[in-house]
Amino acid sequence: MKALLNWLDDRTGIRDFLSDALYESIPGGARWRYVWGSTLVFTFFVQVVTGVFLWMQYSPSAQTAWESVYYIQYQTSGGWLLRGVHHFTAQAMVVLLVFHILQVVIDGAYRAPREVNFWLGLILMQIVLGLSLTGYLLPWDQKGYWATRVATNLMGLVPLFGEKLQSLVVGGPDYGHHTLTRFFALHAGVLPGLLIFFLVLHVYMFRRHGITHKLPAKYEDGTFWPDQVLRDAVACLAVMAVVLFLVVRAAVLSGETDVTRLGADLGAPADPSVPYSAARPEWYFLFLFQFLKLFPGELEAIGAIYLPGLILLLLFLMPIVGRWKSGHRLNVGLVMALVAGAGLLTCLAWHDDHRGAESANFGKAVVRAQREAERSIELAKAHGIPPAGALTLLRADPTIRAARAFDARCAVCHGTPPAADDQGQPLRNGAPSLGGFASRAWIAGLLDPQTVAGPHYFGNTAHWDGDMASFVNGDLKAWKKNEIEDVVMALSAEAQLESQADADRADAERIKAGQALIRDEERCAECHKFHDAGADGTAPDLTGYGSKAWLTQFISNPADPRFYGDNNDRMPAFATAPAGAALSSEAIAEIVGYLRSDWNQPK
Amino acid sequence: MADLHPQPAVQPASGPQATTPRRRRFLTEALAVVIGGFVMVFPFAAGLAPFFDPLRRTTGGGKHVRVTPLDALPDDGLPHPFTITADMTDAWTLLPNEPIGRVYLIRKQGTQTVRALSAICPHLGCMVGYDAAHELFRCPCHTSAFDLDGTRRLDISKVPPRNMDSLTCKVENGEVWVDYLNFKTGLEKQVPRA
Repeated sequence: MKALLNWLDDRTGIRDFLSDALYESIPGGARWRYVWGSTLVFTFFVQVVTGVFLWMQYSPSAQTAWESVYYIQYQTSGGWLLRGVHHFTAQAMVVLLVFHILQVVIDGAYRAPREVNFWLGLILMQIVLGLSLTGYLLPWDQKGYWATRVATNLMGLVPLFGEKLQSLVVGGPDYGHHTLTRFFALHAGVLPGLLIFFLVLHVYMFRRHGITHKLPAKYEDGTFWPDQVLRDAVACLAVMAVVLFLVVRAAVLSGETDVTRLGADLGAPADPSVPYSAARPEWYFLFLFQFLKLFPGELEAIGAIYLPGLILLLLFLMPIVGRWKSGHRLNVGLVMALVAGAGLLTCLAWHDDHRGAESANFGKAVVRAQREAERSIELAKAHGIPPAGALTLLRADPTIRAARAFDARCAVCHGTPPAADDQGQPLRNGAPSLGGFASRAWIAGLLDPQTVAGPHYFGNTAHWDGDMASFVNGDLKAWKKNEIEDVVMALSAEAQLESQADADRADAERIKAGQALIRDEERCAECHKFHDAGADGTAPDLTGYGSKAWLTQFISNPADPRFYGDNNDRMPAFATAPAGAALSSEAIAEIVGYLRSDWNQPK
Repeated sequence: MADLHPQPAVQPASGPQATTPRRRRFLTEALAVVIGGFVMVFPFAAGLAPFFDPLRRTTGGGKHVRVTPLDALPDDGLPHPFTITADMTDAWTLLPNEPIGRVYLIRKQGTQTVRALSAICPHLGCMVGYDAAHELFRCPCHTSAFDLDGTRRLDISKVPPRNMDSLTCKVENGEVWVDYLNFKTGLEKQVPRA
């Protein structure tokens, strides 16, 4: 054994190499504050290893990228963990980068003779950010797709050769196969290659100059092995623990038991024809995103190119500015200000989305995005994915089409309720909210004097002081509470909602009582037709109220004598509207299904 | 150019030292090795299950496939190649009615009896062709040769480990049905692939 080692050492000089590597002197001894660089190397190592494993299963093309990522996440054993680790380690890397830069600048480690190494570090930082940006697109989901459009359009703002640069990166005038192949080549080939190259130089330079320590050293000198190695290893362990926690946090915090729902998100497949209002960059680019809101269109390039370029230039100039004592203070102030500014902008971006005036819309967009993402996955699981890709499944799916059609055609007046049991914000000039339409809760609200003329019901329509509102605010007040409840149950039972089938069966007696009340020509049937009662009703027919047939006919023509007749407010007759505004009978059927939350389950 | 930071020659701390520091140092070294080793193994561990995922995939067994109407198969005792078409799943992609392989159907003269032979060579899995001039099946890869009934011709080539794989074949209502499946190659026995 020893002879073999001697032979190996003679041929390679491995003993000297190892001893140089391990017994590097650390003046003042090992310290925790020196771990940042090592944790970054560690995270890069994790990314390379997990990235290669992902590579074995990923397929970069517009018809297979989302599909292969779906397969990794949902069909491959342990795929969720692998993908989750890669996703969150990427984020950890950005955070560690910030710590590393702060430590280097605060300790003055960028000053002579380490200027070149500092510059190498700045180059490495940009490569890491480039890796984040390119990786974000690869799943080819709505999120990555729209974020990348923004990022590459910004690239187009670069003076002189911006447009050409954009075309080269995107792989042509449009986003597609070649965008993915190019981004993948950048992400898995060019950028990691460059990173390794600069990392080797960076570590070499670091070894050449040694660690930057405080003078005079308070403690005895130490060596890299084992004291610093142990600290580095513990720090890496901590990073690993944080990453693992982030991957499984849904299981820990909200008891998620389906492992494939842990780790990194996968949105709906990218679709250039479908708006994605929930589009946001990865959180560590949010500050840039927020920053760009400050610039009017024609000055965009200033915010996107010139100012970030200037800041980068200031960072590159740090070693020169830092030659003077006050220069060093300036540098420390600059990085602190940058970190604080980025932090502030990130908070502002978060605030705008979650608390600001437009936050309700963003919230809705996020809910819609999640719904479409979940539906895509349901469909892929139930049907398998056709060769033309998952997008075709989604586009052919009645549920998704209905939601999109409702958004395009109905939501302008009725608004989009976030959920069947949540009406959300009413529209200022809107028609009744339709979340949970014809359910007991919805009808109870209609028969409530507090809400009937409120913004969720007739408040913003011509019916706000109509006969119905007057009735609810007048005669109905004389009714007994249980009578009103019976009517609510009976009317809601007309809709035959699947979600209410059990309750309808259980309350058969009360429904019967309610039906008798509705039939009473002194009560509801005075104005409304209901089955064989109220033959000459002037208000909408309540027979089968909210059922498929009723809704289909109502949407087809609300001004039909059976419904509002001449009293119809502004709602168009969608079946007979002029071409372009009309809805096909299939589209109406889909919207009816959507309103009744009677979504077609995958077969 | 002079080195700005000449490295001090550092001795590995193996000189005469008190027992306690030495014990402490051993503990530090042990911990550094264990924790350092653990974190380095971590990304490989994360990739382990997906990497070995193909091992738990199976072919899903044989497929009962309608190949052709019997009338379309001449009763000349000669092999006629037919494409096997079936639904196929390739990882995430579901391919309906996809050509997935080829069989030779041989209908005995004047009968309704049909034999099916897999076109996959039992040697190493190339596709066997039919040499009409010599009335032989021949594999283009390693010279395997078989008679019309699939029996290997060891006098021509010694490589095939067994005769051609015959497939279960039935005629139902004038249609030829084959239980199509693949077998392991290179073995003397016919063993279906899992």
